[in-house]
Amino acid sequence: MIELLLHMFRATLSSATPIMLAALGGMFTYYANIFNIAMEGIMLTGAFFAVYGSYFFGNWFLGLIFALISGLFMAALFALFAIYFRCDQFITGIGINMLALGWTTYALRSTFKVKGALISPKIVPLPKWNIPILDRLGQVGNIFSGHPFLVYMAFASALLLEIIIFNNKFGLHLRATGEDQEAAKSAGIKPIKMKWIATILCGLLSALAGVYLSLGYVTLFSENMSNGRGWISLAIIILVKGRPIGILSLSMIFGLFESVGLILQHYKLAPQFASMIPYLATLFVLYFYGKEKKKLQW
Amino acid sequence: MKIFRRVIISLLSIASAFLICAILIKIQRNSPIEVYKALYAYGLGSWFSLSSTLNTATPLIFTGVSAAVAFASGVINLGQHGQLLMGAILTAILGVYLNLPGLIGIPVLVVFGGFAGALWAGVAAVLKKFYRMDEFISTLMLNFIAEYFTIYLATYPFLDKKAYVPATRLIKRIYFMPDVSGLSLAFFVAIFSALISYWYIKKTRSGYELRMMGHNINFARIGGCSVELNTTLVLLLTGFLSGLAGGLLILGGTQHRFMKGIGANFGWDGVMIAIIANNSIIETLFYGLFFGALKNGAIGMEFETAVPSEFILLLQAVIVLVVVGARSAIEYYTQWIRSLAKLKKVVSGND
Amino acid sequence: MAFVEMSKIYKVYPPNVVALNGVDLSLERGEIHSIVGENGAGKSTLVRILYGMIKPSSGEIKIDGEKVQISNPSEAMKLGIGMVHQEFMLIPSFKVFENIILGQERSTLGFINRKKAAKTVQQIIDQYGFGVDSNTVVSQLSVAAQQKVEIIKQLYKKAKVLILDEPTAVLTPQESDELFEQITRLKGQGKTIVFISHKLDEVLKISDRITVLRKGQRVTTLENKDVNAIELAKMMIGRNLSQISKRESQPGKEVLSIKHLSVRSNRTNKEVLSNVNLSVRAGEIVGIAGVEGNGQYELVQSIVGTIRPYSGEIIVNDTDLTQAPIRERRKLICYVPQDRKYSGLALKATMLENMIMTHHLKDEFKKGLLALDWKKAYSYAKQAAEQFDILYRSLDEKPEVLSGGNQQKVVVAREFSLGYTLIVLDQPTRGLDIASTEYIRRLILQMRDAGKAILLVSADLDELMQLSDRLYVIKDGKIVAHIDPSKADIHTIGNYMLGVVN
Repeated sequence: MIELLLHMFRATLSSATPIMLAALGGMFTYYANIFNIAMEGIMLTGAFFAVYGSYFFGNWFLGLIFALISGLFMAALFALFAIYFRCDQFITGIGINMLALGWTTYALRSTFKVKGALISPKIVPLPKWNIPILDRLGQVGNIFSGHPFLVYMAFASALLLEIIIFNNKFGLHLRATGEDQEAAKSAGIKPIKMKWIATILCGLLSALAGVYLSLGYVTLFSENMSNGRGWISLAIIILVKGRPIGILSLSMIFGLFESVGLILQHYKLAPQFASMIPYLATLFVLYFYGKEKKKLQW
Repeated sequence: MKIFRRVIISLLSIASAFLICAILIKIQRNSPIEVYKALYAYGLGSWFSLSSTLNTATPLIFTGVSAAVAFASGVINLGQHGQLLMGAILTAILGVYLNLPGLIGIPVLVVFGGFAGALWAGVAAVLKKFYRMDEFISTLMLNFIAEYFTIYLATYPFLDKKAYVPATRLIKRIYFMPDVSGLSLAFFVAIFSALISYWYIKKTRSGYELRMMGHNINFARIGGCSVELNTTLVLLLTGFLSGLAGGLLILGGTQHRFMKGIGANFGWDGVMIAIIANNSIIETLFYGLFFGALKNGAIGMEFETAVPSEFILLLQAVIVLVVVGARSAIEYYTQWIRSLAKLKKVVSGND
Repeated sequence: MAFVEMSKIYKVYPPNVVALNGVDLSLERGEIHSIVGENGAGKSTLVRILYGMIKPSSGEIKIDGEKVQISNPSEAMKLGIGMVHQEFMLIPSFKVFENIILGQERSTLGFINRKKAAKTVQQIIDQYGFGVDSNTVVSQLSVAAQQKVEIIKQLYKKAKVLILDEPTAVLTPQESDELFEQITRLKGQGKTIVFISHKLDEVLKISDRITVLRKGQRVTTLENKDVNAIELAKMMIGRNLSQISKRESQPGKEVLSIKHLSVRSNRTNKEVLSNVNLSVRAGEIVGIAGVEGNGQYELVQSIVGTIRPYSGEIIVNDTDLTQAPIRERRKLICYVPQDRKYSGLALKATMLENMIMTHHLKDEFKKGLLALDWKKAYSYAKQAAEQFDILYRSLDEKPEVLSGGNQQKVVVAREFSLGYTLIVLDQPTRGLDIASTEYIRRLILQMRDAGKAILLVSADLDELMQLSDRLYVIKDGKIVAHIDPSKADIHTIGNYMLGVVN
């Protein structure tokens, strides 16, 4: 039983990571008042290109670099349309997500000649980091030790960003831009520049989320493998109004749900219901949030 | 004149999208001309191609009109996928167990499919009305839930043990949708539904309220439109349309049973079509046919050339981005150019 | 040599609105230079160009005889130009000091020493005697205090030229007087002040020189001593101001009656309206005066139905509407909202669609079970557009291409032709040019004489004095005075608005 719980908590950290990374990315655009729903798609391209780099160069680091470049490209594309061409942000986001889906599905077929999923020993996964201090803690330490570094990075960035957003010049400028673009401009901030920066940062972090999915969480690429995680991260951002600390805690809750679902499968729960859990959880969280909000209405 | 301009801009944008993708094909060392030739030949080239294009376009028209009506009303229903699946599964199950003469059975099954879709969208409507949940997130989540739920139903309770993949049993043969030399009647139902939707949104009082909500919801609310009720109505109506798509996919498609992957990408295709059509229902109809031709042509293209049919997914997304980008960039920059011309006139007038 | 010299400034907004047509402006050191002109004359555009908020289409700016490029506000700040905008440029969720240091933060590695920053800012506030706490969140400050924060912001940034765009529009007469004292003090310290207003008495009171703009062109620049208000007004609008005359009101039966109305804010749960009682009778105009944000908006919204009061009654024509949905209320109330872009119009729908809003609820536009009688709608809209002198090309065009005055006429035409006895007007002439303002004020009086009951909420005290037959003053959500405007002067009302007397 205890072993199961430990396993569950370990899986929680792992499941929470991609959602958290994407949500932290989306946090930048949230504070810059950009309605950015492209995390889903950027995560997907990130996952694909991580596998691409890792497969062809036999090196996870190059996979990471490829993924970051793809994230940069997709984010720049989003910014080009939504900021420069002044297209509707929501529509642009859908376009980017569709592009990601179409591109990765097509590329999977035309580059790797497979349909559905690419599983290959040639894909080098992210290395796992053993933290010596944690290792000495025995079983509890095991929950926290031996994850790919992106897990630690996600948690560290959430804490760091909490400080940066509220106490740093960059955070101040970002929030000012989002809250009142004209006022920010009048204070000498360049709002368009801030928006570009926010979008690019979102692209990089979402791509990292994808890297974790395809080289950390599992070691494969499958069609549409982001499977709604980008949307869940968006829901989290809206729920916690962008607060990085809130993102950290809610991502953990979603990670917990996902791992509970995986464990329940061992107890004869149909796998379809297990897979449903994160989405049901999103609805439930939104429901409780909605109830709170309703109390405050006129 | 305005319509002419719009048509030209759309045509040019689509042409540019094809050009961009041609470059991609070329990079992959295939011949774009061959690819597009095959797309045309298998999409529109013969009566056989044409009729199967129209059949392929049928669900796209439904999900497209569903998205267009919702977006035009300012309701972000992105749940076409889930609503279609729920419609399909209900029709598939009833088609196995229900005993009715074909003439009555077919319409009843289709309408039940519609109801299933409406009900599924109704979940989002309830969440919106009572708990103020953004419908765009709830409908998305409901897509995933519907996906897993329908697969569960086809894998366990209603599994056809003789099938190789998880699928429900074949529906009764009397419920197969009749066709006119290969063209399923479902297509005509799609056209009819699109026209009814057009009339509703353009001519009726309720449709007027919906469109005004889409333009400016505060204006509509202050003006006395029943915003909450209308939002619910739109979700139910558009859910119904997507559900119809699902039902007709079972009765009029090629499988006549529910199996994994039957919903394909129809939901998002519909959303893309509505976006390209700028939420106009008549344009949605045209782009539905266009996407149908692409999809249908893609099967032949894969057969004839080395380019896999998934290429179409990429092409569609590029079309969306180019059309949307061109539309707003052209509007913005023509205004800017006009202002320069005016400036020149004013400055010279003063000297 | 002039300190700041703007010459041949043109600005054309896309697609073809000429805001400035070759305007020159020169500022001397240590002067108070007023720019006057009616709404839409180009005053704001001109100074926003000087502050780098907008790029001019053409023209040049010289400072101390040297040509400069001001392509964004931070460049303007470097040149010592500061501006207080008409709509405050403050971040509501930020504290006072955060707003003030924004864009000019002193930081190590980007991290700000918040305590030190707050202290530095407080010193400056105290030095100029502004009496604001640097640690308050801006959204909790009064409008007048927010304006002070705006001015402090410019002083913190060491502005030598201080531009004030319509600073008195949001102030009571007393607060304006205080502002003028501060302005004069700043002038004494050698600052150059650019003061924008359309209130001529204020301009004549404090300026050294006055520049008059009309329709994007400079009419003249003159010394203050050479001119009086009547001449100035004539230069501004190109003709003499006509007087609006008003007959005695003939009030009839009570149409709107509000009893013990209280409303709580849903965010803070504080009372924003407490125990409001008022009535409007047929054939009279009842004005509501008050500093903005004292409950006027909530009052109007609870009458129209977007806000639910937690106690009290709203009765229109003997029907209790307290709990009625908006749709039911709009079958009894004509309503002109304060912001035509937010809720008055759908700018991207057609004129026709804009004109039949609310009318579409009437039986006469029903056709069959579901359809709307578009033919009838068309003929009504055409007739109303002509009756209310709207300048438009076709009912298929979008209101976004119309001028502000014409957009407002569309709203007014639609609402007035509804024909219901109660008319609720929230800032009906805000931001309009003088001709449109006069037109709408006349219409309001006509409506009164035709026996309508009119509730008029306005931030413009002159408008209230000119139109109302009775006047309520609202302060902190309470009605603090009930005044006959023909027997009171503007300062008394100002005292009530500020809560100086009870």
